[in-house]
Amino acid sequence: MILILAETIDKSVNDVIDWLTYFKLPFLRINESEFIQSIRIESRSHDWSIKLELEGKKLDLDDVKAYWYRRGDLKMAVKVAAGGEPVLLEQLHFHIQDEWAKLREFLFARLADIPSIGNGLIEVNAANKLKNLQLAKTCGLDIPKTYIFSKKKHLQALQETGESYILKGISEIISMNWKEGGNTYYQASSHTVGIDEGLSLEVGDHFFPSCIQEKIEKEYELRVFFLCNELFAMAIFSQLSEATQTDNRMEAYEGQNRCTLYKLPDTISEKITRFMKVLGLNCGSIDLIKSVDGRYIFLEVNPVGQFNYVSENCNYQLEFQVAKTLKDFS
Amino acid sequence: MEKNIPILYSCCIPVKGASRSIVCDLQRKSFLYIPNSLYEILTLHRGKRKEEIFQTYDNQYNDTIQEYFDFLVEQEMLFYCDDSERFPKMSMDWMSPAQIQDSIIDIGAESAHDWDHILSQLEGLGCRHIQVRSFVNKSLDFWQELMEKVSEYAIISVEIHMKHGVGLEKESLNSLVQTFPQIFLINVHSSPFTWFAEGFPRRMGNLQFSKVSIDSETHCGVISPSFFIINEKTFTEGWNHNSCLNRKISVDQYGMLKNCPSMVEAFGLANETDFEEVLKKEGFTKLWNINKDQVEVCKSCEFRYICTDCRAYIQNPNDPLSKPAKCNYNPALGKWETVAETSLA
Ligand code: SF4
Repeated sequence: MILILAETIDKSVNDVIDWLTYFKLPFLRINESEFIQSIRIESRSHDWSIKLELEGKKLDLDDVKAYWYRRGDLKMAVKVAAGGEPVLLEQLHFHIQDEWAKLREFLFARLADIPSIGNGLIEVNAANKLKNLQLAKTCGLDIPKTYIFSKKKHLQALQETGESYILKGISEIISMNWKEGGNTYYQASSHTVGIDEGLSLEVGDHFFPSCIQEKIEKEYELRVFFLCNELFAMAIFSQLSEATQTDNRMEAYEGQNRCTLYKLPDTISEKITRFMKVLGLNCGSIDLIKSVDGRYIFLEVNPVGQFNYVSENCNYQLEFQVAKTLKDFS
Repeated sequence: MEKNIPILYSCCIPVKGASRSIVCDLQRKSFLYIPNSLYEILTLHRGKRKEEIFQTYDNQYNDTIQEYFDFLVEQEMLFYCDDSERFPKMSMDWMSPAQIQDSIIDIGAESAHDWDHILSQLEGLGCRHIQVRSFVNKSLDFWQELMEKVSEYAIISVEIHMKHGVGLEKESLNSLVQTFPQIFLINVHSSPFTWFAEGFPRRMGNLQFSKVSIDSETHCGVISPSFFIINEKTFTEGWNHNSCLNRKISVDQYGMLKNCPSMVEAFGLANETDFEEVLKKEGFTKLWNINKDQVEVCKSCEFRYICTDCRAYIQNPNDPLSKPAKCNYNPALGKWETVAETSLA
């Protein structure tokens, strides 16, 4: 059986499952909305027996031949009995959360023993953009010149050089939601702003440490899907539309950006492969920029990035590739 | 290095016809006419520097060629690069996890379909799209019950052609469309009036009334530019396979299992047959690999990978590779000879 941990809505997962069905391979999909209801773990002479029950689903790790960590999580509702001193209950609640966190970590560690695409544990560790920039550099990849400042005068000094810089989030996309007139609104934003725009936002003398990167004049962007040492690259000519010059994730334009199949030079492929190997990832989406002066510059890696866009535009059949990999593992 | 190698984006694919060519834009789902001379430049001389291309034509047509290139750049179909090795062409392979991709189920006066059997067989083969055509009037209750059944299976889109009659009004059908998100289209044929909702056609949930009558399976196989489909999936499928019959299974009004309801050859009673066994039968899939490169006339038509096909109604019944009978296009002249009959079925 093939185990898939995923989010409820994910086109790529559905497409891969269609291929698993075609191969007549049994699978179990657990979505992040599903909670574990009971757990039975027992140490054996060489390993562990691990059995989980979710609503309508049973998972015995002994049956899992291959595993795809796509997104999502293993979740358990943490509850403490009602009644008693609220201050103590709160502390108890935190303690039980800690207990679950360790148990969850153990479950992901055991899952990591199974041949897999992606890895729930590493995904957590890997998602540090700064560490990854450092690692990319160690692997011989170019990275944008990067600063982290918390004082206005440092920012101004940089601005005075006359070069262009951009402000960038250190962590992930910020997504916020708020209620207004009975409706809930969501906004997710990851967009990058030019440093002048940033400064005009009336920055105080001191501010929260912020990441500033040199703005690279790009010929095109590259999105690379990496799967078990194979690289599937696509170039995005985002500069065609002015609005996307800084960050092509300004959604509305992405569909319009010209995409074209791309073959990376071997030297770059090798460096990316080394980077992924050191990171311990066998799957992920890597963003690079090809600068107008001819350099390939690493930006970031997303261990669980969407790939259907790359797959469709380049006819890479990545859904088939993922399913085939799981088939070969099992 | 100077960027002077003209390259088409990989989603822009030139197709040559007898009198003119087109570039199919699979990303933006449209196409553009180009002269055959430009087709030659784009394909034969792909990867060459602009000056080399000029030289091939003895520098006689530099201005014209430059104009062609400027035009394609303006259309965002072409760009210049300094290293064509970085920009290979897209693979034209086609694959699908669905053993059956779509199905037509016809309803006539004598039909006694076992819907549960048919739908579960289709589901088992990965079929997600069905078309139901009724040549006779059926009540609203019938359609309601049918859709309830359909929604028990993994069918994601349903196209219905129903004969107009009492009870099949805009309001009642609209609420049917609202209740079942799987409905892609309800076309009420043989209607005394023509009507469609504002914004037609939408991605899903379409309703229209048409005066055209669909009283048998012969109302099919019409070729018209309005049926052209331009995307990566259908283009590569058309490149490799028959754009109508590939991975299709149908049930005709008499309950016979066929590749398409209009075909003569039948493969048993749908109600009693294991569909997967039928797929293994020699003969069932024999037309699946006839792409338009093999079909007379179509093989010289620039629309051949975005056009539908029909193997049931062909110009010469004795030649299985003859052109669809209901196509009025003449590739040699680049003209639609008479206005094509436009019926949705
Ligand atoms: S000639 Fe063939 S390919 Fe061209 S429009 Fe007619 S049917 Fe389609």
